[in-house]
Amino acid sequence: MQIEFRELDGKSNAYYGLLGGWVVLVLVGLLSAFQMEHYGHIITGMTNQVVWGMPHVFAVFMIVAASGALNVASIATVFGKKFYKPLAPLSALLAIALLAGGLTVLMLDLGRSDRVIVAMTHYNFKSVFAWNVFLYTGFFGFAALYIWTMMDRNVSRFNKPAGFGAFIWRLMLTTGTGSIFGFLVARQAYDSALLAPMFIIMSFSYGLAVYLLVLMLAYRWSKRLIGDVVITRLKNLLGVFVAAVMYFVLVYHLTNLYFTKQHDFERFILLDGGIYTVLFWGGQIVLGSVLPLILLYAPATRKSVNAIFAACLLVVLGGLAQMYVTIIGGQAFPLQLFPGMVETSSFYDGVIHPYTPSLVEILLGLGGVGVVGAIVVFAVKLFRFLPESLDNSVIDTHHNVH
Amino acid sequence: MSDIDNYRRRFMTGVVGVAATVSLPAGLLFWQTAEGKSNDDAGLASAKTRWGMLIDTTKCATGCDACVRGCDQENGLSGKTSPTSPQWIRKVQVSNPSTGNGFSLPMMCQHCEEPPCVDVCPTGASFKRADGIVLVDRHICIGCRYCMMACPYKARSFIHQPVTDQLAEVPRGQGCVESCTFCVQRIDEGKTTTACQDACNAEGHQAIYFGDLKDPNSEISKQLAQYSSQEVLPNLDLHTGVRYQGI
Amino acid sequence: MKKLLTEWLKPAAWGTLILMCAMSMGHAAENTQNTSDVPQPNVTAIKGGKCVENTEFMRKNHMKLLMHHRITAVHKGDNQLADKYSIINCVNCHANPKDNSVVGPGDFCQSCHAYAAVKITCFECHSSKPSATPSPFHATTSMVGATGKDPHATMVHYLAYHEHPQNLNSGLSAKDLAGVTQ
Repeated sequence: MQIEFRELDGKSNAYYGLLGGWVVLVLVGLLSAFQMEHYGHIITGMTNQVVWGMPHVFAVFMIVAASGALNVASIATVFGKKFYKPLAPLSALLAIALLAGGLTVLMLDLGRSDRVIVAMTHYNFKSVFAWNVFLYTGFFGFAALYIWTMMDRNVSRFNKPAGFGAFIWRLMLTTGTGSIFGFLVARQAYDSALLAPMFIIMSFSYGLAVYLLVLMLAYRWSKRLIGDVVITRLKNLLGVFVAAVMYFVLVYHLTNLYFTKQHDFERFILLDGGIYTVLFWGGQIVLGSVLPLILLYAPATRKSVNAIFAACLLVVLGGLAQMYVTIIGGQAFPLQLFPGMVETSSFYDGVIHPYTPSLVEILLGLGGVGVVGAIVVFAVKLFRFLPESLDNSVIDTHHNVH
Repeated sequence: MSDIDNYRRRFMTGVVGVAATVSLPAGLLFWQTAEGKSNDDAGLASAKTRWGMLIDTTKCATGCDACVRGCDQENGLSGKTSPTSPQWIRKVQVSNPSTGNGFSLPMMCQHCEEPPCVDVCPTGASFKRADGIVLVDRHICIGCRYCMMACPYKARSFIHQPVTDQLAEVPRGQGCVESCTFCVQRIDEGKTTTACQDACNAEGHQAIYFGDLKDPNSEISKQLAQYSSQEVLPNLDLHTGVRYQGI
Repeated sequence: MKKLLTEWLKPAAWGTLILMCAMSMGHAAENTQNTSDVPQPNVTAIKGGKCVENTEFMRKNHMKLLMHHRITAVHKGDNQLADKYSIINCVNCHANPKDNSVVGPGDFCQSCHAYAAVKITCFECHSSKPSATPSPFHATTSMVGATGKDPHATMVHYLAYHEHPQNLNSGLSAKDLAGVTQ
């Protein structure tokens, strides 16, 4: 029995309410961007010491998750696991939506957003940001092509090459995203080759968590059937990825702890950094890694859909915390102009740089989330992204469970 | 699919196909205009010169910030020190926690030979001029602040609000990044001293030398040849244009 | 191939025709300025004598001059005060003495740009006020006698600027006047 894909009806009040809600969020984000453009970044919490703030936390999270969201489709096409094939179109759609959301936030946060055209016509190819212009637009192109090969029978023979292309491309993209930080020799938090592969693993984890959330909500709200076989396979995979992220975080900090010169920075993050320490241990480790692993694998909770949903939500929150610690914590720690010495100046040398996120920044970030939601909710009504049913009976009889 | 849908599909594809084909040369033309390529290469800044600075921290007085005042006045800066205020130069107090020994020095853009800020700028707005001065071309800066993340000396500032009282010789405005320019507006007029240097000399400390590093007869070159000097963060191998004595 | 011709040619041709019509209409709209019944913007050039180039040339090409000179200024290090095309010298001549600006309502840059609905972003960074430093370049002095304009009229304008009669002082602060011969 072939799995049929069908558009959402999308005529209920609930549907329009949901879509309207996302659109309102987008409008609020746009209003915030306008305020920032009009009054300048002085109305945000970003300063000359902490130059990237909440918008970047949201944006980088979304961009990393975008790459990972494509994972489900890649497993089907690149790794040949037919089980995942019905899940692939939504995966590619989510990838496009998340990337669009992240880029919207980034481009609106620019000091001169009116010069995005300049960014597309002047290139310094030693800069990761310049590569990103091509990596991101190429990703849109590859994902769109990929979706086309999945949906149009006339071109379905190109599905495998499109899938491979998208897979390789997104590995390059996420390596680039990690290298944005990894290539910076100036900051003790960055300056590491580990950041690129860590971002790749983080993308697997965040992307799948977002995918699973969207999948479960879409099927619950459209009253379509989804069986526990699909959920179980995906949640087991998520558990592996969450554990892998923990491994990378462990290696990162263990290595830093081994270098005496990094001890001050590690003490800041792990012990006395205030909000950063709380977000690291409480947000990233406990809420974002340990608790989800328990929920996903413990006999008491591993079969509960609500527990799995909560685990996905916690992974997302933990991911945002991880972004905050990495991006903002990395800037809050002062630069060492004279290692081993004590520095003071009028430009906040030698002191922890304070940062308080402002409402406009948070709303801008949420506006990006709104873009994601609006695209996904609208697209599943317009096109056949969602299988009519992912019930056990439909999955089991047709596809092999490996 | 019905005939109408079929027709519509072919119509749209035809329009898009033609528009795409037409926009290729049009886009190329637009791109070239945006590049604004100039054939005139009678430039004044040349690689025969490399501007550099030498700061003698033994003469730099703790508590004195004449260089900062001089820079503020020359470049139209407010002199405020809030977290969002631009500071092109600042005095840094350094002390050794074990020995108690301390010194102060002015810190500004080090005009590196291999500037990390230039590496990371996506548009090439952050660039190194032929004569070694590292500048921000504010015409093409998009305000992404990546250069501020990349600078190991935290030399760059972002302008967080509209500017209305800028000096005519030093254009600066909201949304772009800026840093010490070695008083490029004075250099291009043919002057050979920076405002911070003049201010320090006026104060009587004479701690700042500025000149052409490639000219062996310049005062700075003679000083550098005679006395030991160091870069800040020498392990980064950036070969900065600013060197310090006594750190 | 036959399928391509029979099924695709007609709709593609229609689409192209409509696209061409739209593009030519857009192009035709550019030429409306030359018709005599279209109102012209009120542009007052404050300084007498001539600009560095004639009016029609400047009207068409000042943006190209600016685009070129911003590269020579920033990347090649031209002396901005001596360069006759530098924006500093444009502002020095064209600033309205009443509000000391080129972007106030009715002022030189603003009047044309408001009429053409083209936003000027130059003065978000560049000063719209004349430079306090005396410029070695003077459009009026270099044009005396060279263009055939009445040298007396040119000198009157030159003296009026440099001798600061009462009505031109308004808006100029002591800092602005410092260094300018009085």
